[in-house]
Amino acid sequence: MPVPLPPDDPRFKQRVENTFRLDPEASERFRCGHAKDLVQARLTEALQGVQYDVEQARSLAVSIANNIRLDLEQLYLPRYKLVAHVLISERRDQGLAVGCRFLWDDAKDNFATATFENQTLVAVAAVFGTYCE
Amino acid sequence: MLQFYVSVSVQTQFVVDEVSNVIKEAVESTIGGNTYQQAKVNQWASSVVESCLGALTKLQKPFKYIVTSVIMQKTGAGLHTASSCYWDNSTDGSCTVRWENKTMYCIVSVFGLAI
Repeated sequence: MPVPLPPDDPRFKQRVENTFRLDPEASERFRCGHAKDLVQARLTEALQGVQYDVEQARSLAVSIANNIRLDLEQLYLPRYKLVAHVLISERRDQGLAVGCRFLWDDAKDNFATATFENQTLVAVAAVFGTYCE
Repeated sequence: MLQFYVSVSVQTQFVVDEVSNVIKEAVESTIGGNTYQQAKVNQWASSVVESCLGALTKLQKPFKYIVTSVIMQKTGAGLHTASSCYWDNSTDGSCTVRWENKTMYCIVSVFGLAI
């Protein structure tokens, strides 16, 4: 016989009324245009005038990814899971190809990408939002 | 009063080792013995991602997948990738596989988000 959990237990989940909604509201959808602006702004702000340096690039990549995720969290996107992915590469006349593909619900899930280039580095950032039913 | 417990079984959890093996095989079979060629690299990036996704679908798990691949020629340049995620830690996960041969690097990242 399962014992009821006390309300201050971390596993306790409040019972919520059923919304009978399968899709997100129009105002709560993942908007590509808006997300792209945010991603581009974060990328440019972090990498403007920066020369490629191994140690710095490592920590920059992590901090840009965190900032992008926090920015998206500020937007009101209930029931959306977010993934921010950042790639920074040094420029040494090498070829580089980046591709991505998804297995998800096209109507509700979406993504936004942005790129940044200067003399010594190339950066590509992407943020993906998937709706969790 | 009823309490609802969400049980996380192996079926609904992202298993990194399994996915990692799947990706390694997919990459090996797609660009295994090839030398870097500028003209083909875009097509390779797409086909690596496609074959990874196809193999992941065959696992028949209740997950949404995001697969990204980066193919870079070996010239001594540095490359860093980072990702930050807002998800449910008990069910979702990611796996990054780094593959290389004499002329190029291939880095494939798979993010699995439970439905």
